Amino acid sequence: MQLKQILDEIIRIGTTYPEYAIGSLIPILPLSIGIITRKYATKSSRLILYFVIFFIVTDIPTWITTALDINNLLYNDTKIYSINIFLLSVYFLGIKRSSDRIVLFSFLSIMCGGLVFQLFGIIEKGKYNWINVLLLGSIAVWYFVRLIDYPKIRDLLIYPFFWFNTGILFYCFSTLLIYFFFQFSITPDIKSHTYFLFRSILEYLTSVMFILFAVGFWNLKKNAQIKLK
Amino acid sequence: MKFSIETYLILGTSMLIFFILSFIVFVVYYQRKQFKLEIKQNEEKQAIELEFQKKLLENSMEVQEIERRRLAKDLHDEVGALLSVLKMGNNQLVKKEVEDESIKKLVNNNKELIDESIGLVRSISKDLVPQTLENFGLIHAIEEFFNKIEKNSSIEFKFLHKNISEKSRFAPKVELSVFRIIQELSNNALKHSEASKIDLILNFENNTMFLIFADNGVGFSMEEVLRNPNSGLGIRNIESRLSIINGAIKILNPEKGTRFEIEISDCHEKN
Repeated sequence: MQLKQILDEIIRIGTTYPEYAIGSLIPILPLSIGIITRKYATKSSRLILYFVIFFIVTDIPTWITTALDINNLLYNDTKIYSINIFLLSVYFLGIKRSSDRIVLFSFLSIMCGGLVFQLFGIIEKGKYNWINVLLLGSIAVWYFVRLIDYPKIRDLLIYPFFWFNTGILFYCFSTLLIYFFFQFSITPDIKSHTYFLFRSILEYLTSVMFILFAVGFWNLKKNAQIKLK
Repeated sequence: MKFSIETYLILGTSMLIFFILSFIVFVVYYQRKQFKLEIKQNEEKQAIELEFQKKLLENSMEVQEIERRRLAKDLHDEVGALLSVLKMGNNQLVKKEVEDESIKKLVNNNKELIDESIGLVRSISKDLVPQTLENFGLIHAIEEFFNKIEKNSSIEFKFLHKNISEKSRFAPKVELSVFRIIQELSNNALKHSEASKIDLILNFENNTMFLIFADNGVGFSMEEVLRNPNSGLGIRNIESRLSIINGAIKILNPEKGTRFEIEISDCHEKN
């Protein structure tokens, strides 16, 4: 298949299933804002920006393989695993207490172990993604609990990591059931109506996460100005 | 009625989203509440610290006044009495017929020195404790003070008072502080300003005392004064006194000279 044919097929898929196109194009919004406000970026926000780039880059093979009608389920599940591992790693920057780091490290080990087992076929593809989002979500909840006891932040709504964490929390708990039900009904038949419905919801929910990331990047400048004051 | 897996999923996910949003709203609300509480606690702490410092300052000023009073009393009662005895002895010597001219001259000279010393002791003890202020009030004390320094300097003093009669009395703490501030400003002007004229306006309106002290001298830079740790003690002293009586000072540098504007709020006239 020629490049033009691949592009035509991608456009056809994108117009037939606009939710997929939206899910893939939305990350450009936080990327653009993140680039604009990059001089105010902290270590953690820079890592979130790298995550957005990672997401965009790893999405390209999904589109190409779909256009070529190649089964990319393993790739997609590996990508989801990597996304969760990447997002969990972001919390390492904000955590200084050793006991907290141990919890984080054990969660990371579970995720990495799951990824390796999945790649070697020891566990079924995508069967335990829900555990990953549950672990990541619990870290996001825990981070908020810590944030409550940190009254030095004048306004949470302009604190960038509040929005990043909200995005992660939203992504984890809103997709939890989808990942949980995937293992029972969808994985065997990727072309079923249920699969497309679940994937569509997943795309929309992931888009919300990126919109919240964009708000976080937007607030980088405001937050830096307040810190200077 | 049988629900499909899609219905369960959509319902479940909607509920989860609702819980997440509620949780986030709670986090924002709780954090704001905590932040406000922290600010309130800090403000209360600062107010307590400020009050404590004020009390400390007030006590130190009181101690200073007590010490001045003691010194004035000692000077008057002890040194003054001794000088009076000395004067009496010297007077007896004056009365005696002495043929030696040099001794006569010495005795007369001693008499002059003793009189001068008695006058000086009286003047110092009067400066230490402003009796006029205590007995007759602020206006009389200021007038007396200005008359005294006008005699010994080339500066022309002009004192104007509005809405304060000569009989007006205020809390002793306020009267004493205002008088000491005027003394401090006048001494500073005499020492550094090279002024030929000093104007003082004292006004009292709505329980607030306004004081304007202006000279036509060379002026000064407040920044420079504050930068030098060895200077500006007078200004700091004034600020300390004002902090005790709810007062504030503004230092202005007009084209010529210096202008001090003092406002003392919550100041009640005594009947």
